[in-house]
Amino acid sequence: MKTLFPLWKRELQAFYLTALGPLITVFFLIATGTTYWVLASRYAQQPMGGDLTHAFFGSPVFWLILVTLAPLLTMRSLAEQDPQGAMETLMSAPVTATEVVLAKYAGAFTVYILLWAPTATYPFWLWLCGGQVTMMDWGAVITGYLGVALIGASFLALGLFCSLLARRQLVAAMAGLVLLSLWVSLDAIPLSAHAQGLKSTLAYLSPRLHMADFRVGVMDSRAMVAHVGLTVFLLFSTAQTLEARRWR
Amino acid sequence: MPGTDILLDLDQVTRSFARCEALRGVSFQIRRGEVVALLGPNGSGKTTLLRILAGVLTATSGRVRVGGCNMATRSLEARRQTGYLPESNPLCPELRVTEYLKWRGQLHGLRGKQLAARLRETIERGGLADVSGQLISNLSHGFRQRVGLAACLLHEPAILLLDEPFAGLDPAQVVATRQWLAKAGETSTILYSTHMLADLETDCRRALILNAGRLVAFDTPQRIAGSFTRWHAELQTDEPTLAAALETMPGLTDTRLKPLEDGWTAISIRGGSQDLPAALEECARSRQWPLRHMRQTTRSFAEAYMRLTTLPPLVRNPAQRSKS
Repeated sequence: MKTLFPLWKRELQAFYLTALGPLITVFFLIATGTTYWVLASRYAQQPMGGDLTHAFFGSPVFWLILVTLAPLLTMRSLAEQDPQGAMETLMSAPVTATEVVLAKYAGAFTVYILLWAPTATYPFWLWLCGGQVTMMDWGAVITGYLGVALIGASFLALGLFCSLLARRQLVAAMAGLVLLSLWVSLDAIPLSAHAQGLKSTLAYLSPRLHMADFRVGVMDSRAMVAHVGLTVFLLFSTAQTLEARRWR
Repeated sequence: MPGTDILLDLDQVTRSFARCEALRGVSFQIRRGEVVALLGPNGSGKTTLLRILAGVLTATSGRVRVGGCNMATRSLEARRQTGYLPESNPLCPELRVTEYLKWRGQLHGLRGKQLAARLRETIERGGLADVSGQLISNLSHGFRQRVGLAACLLHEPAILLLDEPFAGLDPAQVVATRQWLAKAGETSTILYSTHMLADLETDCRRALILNAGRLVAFDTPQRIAGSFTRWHAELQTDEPTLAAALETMPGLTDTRLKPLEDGWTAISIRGGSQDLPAALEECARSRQWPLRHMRQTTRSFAEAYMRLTTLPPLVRNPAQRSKS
C-alpha cells in the first residue's frame, strides 16, 4: 500500500493539470451556482414549502449534475485505450490491481468532494448579496452534503467499473450515464400492487428517496449501508476484473 | 530462487487472444548480464512476449520465470526486478521531467534521499539535465524516448525489457541511446526488440528471432548466419547411389541433389561446420567417386533473418523439424 499516495497524487495531477479539470470545474460551478441563484430568487419572491437546501438538493439540475459528473470523472481512469497508454506502465510496475483501483477511486472521490466544496459557501454569497440566511436549515445542509458524498461515492464506483469494461473513454462515459440514469429512476418504475416486495427493494436502492431524507435532515442508516455496501462491492469487482485483464 | 543465474526462463509458453495465437510454444533462457535482441516481422509476437515478461499479460499456457520468480504466483516480486519500456512509451505530458521520474521512482518504492540520488544520477547519465525542468509535452521525440528509458532505469532493475527503444530516433540519438544501454548492460540483463539488423553483431551477444509466434532462432548473429552456409560439390555418381551414401553420414540437414547432364551429380548441403568438406571428401574417396567444384556460399545475418522469417513456419526451425 506504499504506492497508494503517489498513485492518488497522480490522479489529481491528471485532472487538474489537463484541460479537462478546469473545464469540468467551471461548468460545474456555473450549473450549481445558477441553479442556486434561480432558486434563491424564487424563494425571495414567493416562499415555498421547505427551505432552500431542500429545493437545491431536489432540483432536476442537481440530479443531472450528479449522473453526469461521475462518468466524466471516471471515464478515463481504467479505459483500455487511454491515449497515454498509462495503464501499461501501471500493470508492469510492482503495484497490485487493488492499489490501482483504490488510488483511482480515491482520486476521483477527492476531485468530486473538491468540486462540491465551494457550493457550501453559496449561503454566504447569498447573505453577502443581501439575502436572508434564515432561509437555510443548517442541519439539513450538513445531512444534504453527507448525502451528496454517499451517493457520489457509489456513483463514482459504478463509473469506475464502467471505465474498466469499456475499451474507449466515450463508451465508458455513455455506459455510466445510462446506468446511473436508470438507477436514479428506480423509484419511478410503475409496479402493480402485487409487487410490493420488489417495490420496497427498489425503494431501498433508490438514491432519490435516500436524498429526499438527507435533504430534510434525516440520516437513514439503511441508505448509508446501501451506498457503502454498493461502493465496496463495485470496487472489489473492479479490482478483480482489472487483475483478470492480464488473462484476456 | 534468489541469486539465480538465469533471469528469464520460458518453457513452452503459449499466448492466445480471441482471434489469434500470438505465441506458440516459446522456450528459451537468458542469463544474468546478457544483452539479447528480439527480432521478427511485425505481428510475430515480440510485443506480446515482452508484455508477458513485464507482467502486463499472462501466458495462456507454459511457465514464465522472471528473476527466478514464477510469473503465475510471484508476479509482484518479479515486477520489482524489471524495467519495461512499451513501444508507445507512455509518459505524462502534463508533468515536468523530474516530476514524472520521481513518480515512477515512487512506484518502485524509492523514497527520500535514495530517490533524490537515483534521480540525479539517472538524469545526468541520460543527458536530461538541460530538460529536467521542462514539461514532457514540450520535448522532442528523442528526449521523450530518453525520459522513458530513464524511468525504466531509475530503480536499477536487474532486467530491462525494451520494446523498440530506437524507433523514431535520428542516427545521433540512436548512437547515444546505444551507449547508454551499453552502460546499463553492465549491471542489467537486457532484452530489446528491434528491426535494425545492421549493428546487431556489435550490440548484442545473442539474437532471438520470432516468426508467426514461434521461436525460429536463438543464437549469436554469427552462428545464425553460419547455419545458412551451404557447401556445394559435384561427384561422379548417380543420384540414388549418392543419396544412399549420404544417409550413412550423420548430422546432415537440408541436403539437395541434382543429376547433371554429363553423368555427375551436384550436391548442396546446408551447414557452417568446417568438418563437412572433409567428411564429403572422405565419402567420395572411400567410394572412388571423383569430386569437383567444392565450394562454400555464405549468407549475411540479414539474409539469414530474411530466410528465417519468410519460410513457412514448419520448415523454419531445424531443431523443431528434427523433433517432429
